[in-house]
Amino acid sequence: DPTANAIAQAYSLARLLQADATDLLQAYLSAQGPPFSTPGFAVPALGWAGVPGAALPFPSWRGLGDGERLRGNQVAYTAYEAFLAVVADDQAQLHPGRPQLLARLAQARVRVRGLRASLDTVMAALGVVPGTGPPPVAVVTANQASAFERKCRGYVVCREYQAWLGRTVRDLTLLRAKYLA
Amino acid sequence: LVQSCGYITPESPVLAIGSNFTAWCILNESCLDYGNIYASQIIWKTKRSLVPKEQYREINRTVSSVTFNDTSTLATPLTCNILADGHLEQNIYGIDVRLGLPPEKPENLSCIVHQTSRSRFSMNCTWNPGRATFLDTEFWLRTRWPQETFNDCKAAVVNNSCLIPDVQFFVNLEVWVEAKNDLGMMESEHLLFDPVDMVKPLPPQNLSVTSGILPTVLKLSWENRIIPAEMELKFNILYKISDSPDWMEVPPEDTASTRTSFTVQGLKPYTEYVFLLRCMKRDGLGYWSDWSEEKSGVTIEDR
Repeated sequence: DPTANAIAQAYSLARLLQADATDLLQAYLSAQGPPFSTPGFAVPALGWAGVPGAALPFPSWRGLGDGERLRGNQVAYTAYEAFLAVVADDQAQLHPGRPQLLARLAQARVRVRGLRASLDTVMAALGVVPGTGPPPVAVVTANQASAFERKCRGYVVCREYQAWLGRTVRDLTLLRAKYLA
Repeated sequence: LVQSCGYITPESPVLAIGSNFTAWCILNESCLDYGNIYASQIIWKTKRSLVPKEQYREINRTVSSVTFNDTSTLATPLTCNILADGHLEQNIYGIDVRLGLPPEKPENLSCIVHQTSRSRFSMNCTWNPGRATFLDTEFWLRTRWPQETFNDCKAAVVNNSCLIPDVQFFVNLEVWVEAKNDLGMMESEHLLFDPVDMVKPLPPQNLSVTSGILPTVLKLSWENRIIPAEMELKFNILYKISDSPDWMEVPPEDTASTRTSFTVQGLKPYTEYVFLLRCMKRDGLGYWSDWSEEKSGVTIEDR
């Protein structure tokens, strides 16, 4: 059943990316130096314009239809592909001596594109019409933001990217239960 | 500046072996008047041997053609010459002819994804390039997702394999080979697969053997180098008494799920055993890893 296969594949990919994203956030924080590299560092209230937040009250999340749910994912990862590129550019300037972090950011971008391709396949299988993407990422160009602001931006992007993957795993768990039962 | 008295067309052709071919030698009008030479005086040569006259045709005063029904006999260069005043041979023009074959359809395309380190996987694809073409022939491995085409991989000189340094799991990848030379282009079958189903994982590492409470058991422990989010694993465990040539296998159904240890039972007390271990994707898709390094352990005495 192509629908079940597409959902199962997307679910596996989301789980893999979720594991990657956890490692990416840790690698990012340790590369920024204090206060970011302080064990247990977390500033949940810190946000950045344009970075899609994953948080959603449970009833709202649970009440989403399949199409709405999948389009939300697509819109988010379209934004994250762009934001991960911005963070990579920032880090290339701030920490050129951290090739491993830059490699992780590059791999994350390729994998996000893979996840979008996978979600497209699920949407096509379910007959869901793709939504229009977000407006071009409202990005403060690298040279205008201070070094600290750029570190904060990268932290918010990596943190929310990880959160979104958690949400995508939950979304696809719902769809698995519905279509793979 | 010495002006040439003519030229041959086509200039430097690439021809299929066994095909037919016609070339034309066109004399310059200026040379006609001055040199008193005509197309009827043209003689054709391949390398240094004369082409039989039956293969010539005088098209008009300035143009002569030569035809080869089977290019296999066509040695290079092909030259157009004039026999001036009946005996003095003068070369007008010459061309190099390259003979070869168009590429055949690449066959038996297959790919294997090698785990190179933790969470790093490269993919090597091989194929049968087909007959020799005697021409410069390029082989390109092409890969794409539905919405994205990746950098092409140009085959090494041997022409039948290509290594893609990084592959992504859980997105179906379309893979095919294109063979191209001056005589044509051929495409292999297109494969469509999820790279996660083609993996040859790295073998489990840090295998250790510890004796148990009972004299007939030994406990194996190891580390897997693939994370569960990438794939669930199954295992193959072989063991033998260290000075015996006969290996025994733990029933595969007992090791058919992801784990990092296993207790082997039914052993002889106070005996040294040697163990080997390998893994592969749990659903049987892909390839077995190489065997781990051998590790031995001794069962305790039966009191």
